[in-house]
Amino acid sequence: MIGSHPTDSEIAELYRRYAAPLTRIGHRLIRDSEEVHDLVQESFARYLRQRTRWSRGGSPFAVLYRILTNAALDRLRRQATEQRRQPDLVTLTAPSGMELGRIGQVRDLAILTRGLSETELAIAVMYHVEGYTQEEIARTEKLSRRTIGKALQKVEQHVRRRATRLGYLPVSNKPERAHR
Amino acid sequence: MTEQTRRVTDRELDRLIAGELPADRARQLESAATAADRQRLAELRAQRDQLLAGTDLAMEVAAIKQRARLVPRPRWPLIGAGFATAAAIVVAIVNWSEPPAPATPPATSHQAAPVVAIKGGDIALVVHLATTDGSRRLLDGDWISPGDRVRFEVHSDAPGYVAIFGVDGSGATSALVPYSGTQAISLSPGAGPLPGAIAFDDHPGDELLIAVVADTPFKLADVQAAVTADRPWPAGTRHTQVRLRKR
Repeated sequence: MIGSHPTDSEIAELYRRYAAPLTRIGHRLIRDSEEVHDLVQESFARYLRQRTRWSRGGSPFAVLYRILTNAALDRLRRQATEQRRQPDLVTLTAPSGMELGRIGQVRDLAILTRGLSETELAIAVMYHVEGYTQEEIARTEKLSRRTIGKALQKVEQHVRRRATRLGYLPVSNKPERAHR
Repeated sequence: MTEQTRRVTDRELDRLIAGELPADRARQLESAATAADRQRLAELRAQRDQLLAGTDLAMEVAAIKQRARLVPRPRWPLIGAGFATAAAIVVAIVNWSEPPAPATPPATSHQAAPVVAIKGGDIALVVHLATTDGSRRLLDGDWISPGDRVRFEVHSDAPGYVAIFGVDGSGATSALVPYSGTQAISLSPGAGPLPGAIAFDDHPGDELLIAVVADTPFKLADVQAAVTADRPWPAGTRHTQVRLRKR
């Protein structure tokens, strides 16, 4: 547990425990290794800066995951804005059964999810990028499957609205599933 | 027959490896894990070990503390809008044509001291100290007091990128320019003082100011090791420093 005045050994322990999974997840969102390294460092720093916010006994990984995914998506959005690039076409697939649509490309996800909450973004990344099922997300986030479903539905509606506004086109009906 | 289906997510395996899963859940995973899950667990552990083996943990911790503002104390608080005006005045009245003069002792520290300490050949770090009647340049070895306010100027013969670090008496390192951010900022010859101004706090000991310049953009973290741990400087970088003594 990180106290109000974290010591070097506490920070080192935090790093030993979580740097590897955060790096792996970072690579799913951002290709550049140095940028991922920077992102992981920044995530730890933000975690420590906001340490009084995190309740005792909670999962540091859950918080770090949320920080990292939000920071990564922020960077992708900034890069897209700075480069003034026309976003790639997004793969919005048709809903199939209980599963919601998939978004094919991470940068598109970053652009299209602007305005969603941190929690919704984290859930969206777990589902659309990491490929977790709703049940798995519900279990790891300690939320009900119904809550996850609603959050994903909201994400999808938000994404579709932004896709329409930004001129994205649904180009594929082929579901694209990330690999864990 | 070996079961290849995964039943446990990477997320839970990560938490298992990190030791943050409750004991009962860890036991459940143990009993529910398939051969594929166990194989994945071994892979994740190997990835972690590989990452840590290639990591300078002390340097990572130092960098994280720096970014989290967990250095022992806020040595160099940013000056607010009030000082922005004062700093602008400092810049405006600096006289670059002043002739060289001997090093300035403490008793005469408010006199003009035009000598600029230069190391590293083609770059120079100039430290402008705000004074009641304008400003003066601080030299290597000059004395400063808590509350003294300074801006930086870096002279280079070509455009490039620059960052300035401060190392206090306890060895704690801070990025001063840019004060927040991860990348060096652009540097143009003759552009004048760099953005931002700082004030010294009352932390005892020398203050070492190090300017790092490169022709191409670089990340602060990439040169942090050279600053904090006396490691070799990254290829393509040039640096110079000014050491100030605090009363």
